[in-house]
Amino acid sequence: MTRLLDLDGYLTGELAEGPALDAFEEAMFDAPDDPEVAFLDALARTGAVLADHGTFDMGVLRSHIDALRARGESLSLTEIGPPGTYRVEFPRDSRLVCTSLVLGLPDVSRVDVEMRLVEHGNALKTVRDVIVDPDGRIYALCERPLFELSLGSGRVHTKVYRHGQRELIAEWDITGVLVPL
Amino acid sequence: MVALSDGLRDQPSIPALIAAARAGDRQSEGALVARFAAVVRTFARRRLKTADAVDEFAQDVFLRFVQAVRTGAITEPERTGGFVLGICKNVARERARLAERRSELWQQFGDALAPLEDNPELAKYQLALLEDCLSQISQRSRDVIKHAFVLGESAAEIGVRLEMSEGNVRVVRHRALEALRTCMSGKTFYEEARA
Repeated sequence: MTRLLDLDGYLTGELAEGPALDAFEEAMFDAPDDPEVAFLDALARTGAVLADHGTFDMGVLRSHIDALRARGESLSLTEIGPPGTYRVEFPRDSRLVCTSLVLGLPDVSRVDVEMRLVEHGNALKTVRDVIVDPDGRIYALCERPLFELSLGSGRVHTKVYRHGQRELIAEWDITGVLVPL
Repeated sequence: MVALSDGLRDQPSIPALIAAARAGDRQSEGALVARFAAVVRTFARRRLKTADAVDEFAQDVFLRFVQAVRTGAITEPERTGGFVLGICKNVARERARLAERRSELWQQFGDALAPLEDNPELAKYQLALLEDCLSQISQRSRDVIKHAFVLGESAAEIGVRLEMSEGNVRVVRHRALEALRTCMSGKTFYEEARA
């Protein structure tokens, strides 16, 4: 990954002005199809979109949801209750999808979330450092493209752990479907 | 009632400020910039739409103005207002020329720039993939990546913000970058699981 780290040094300004920088730029423009350059370009451009929406981080505060709505973002908020089993219909049309889970533990500000895709060999994904709002809810905000990919995976068993520990504090079993047209 | 002009009472004259600034007094230089700020912005506001463009215009004007003060190019200090207006007109003309030239070029060759537009399907997928990959690294790594590559902050700035040493910022940044690069070479977790 040396090339990636070289580009990291270039972008972050750690490669100082001078002949080395000139040579680096000449080489970069001589080889414009560099996949590492493409990766970093995508990271910056797509990352800016995620950062603007708040989806760069895992989970957001309720106030952030309200702020996104106030500035006119297309956002749907689907309220899911306390731990349990649910079949949930999600709207089709918003650019951002927020799913709210009632954790109900006001002393908990961050959690780790483990998602198991029951219908797909129990494939497991762990999302660390998820924010919990002081109102005791997790506001899982997601961009529509990833949300729809996740929805296509069928039933998801979700376990929530106290952050950095293996103490299980809540479980949901959710099957999500899009609202029929 | 406080009048807007009250703030100008007992201020040195502009020629006095020019003389002091020319002699190296940076405070006088700042006072000159502050004195002309409103009129320059008003001049710009008449021609430009956004607040950012107005601010950028004013900066362009004052950079040249300060350069002129320091190099002694203002030979008639009592006519400083006219001098600043002259800079404003020059900057506006240059910008207009640039805009006109741009417009001509755009009409002629604009179609060829379509590749700069994102392919919508690819952009959607990149959004999903990056969001998915970010969910698999720690909050600290996400923070460092965001501040470095989205907000363009240096390792030193990020270190202060996140209470980390500069060296540690670099280590976290390199590791997170490599993890994201590997993750983004594949598919999303959900697609991999269904495959």
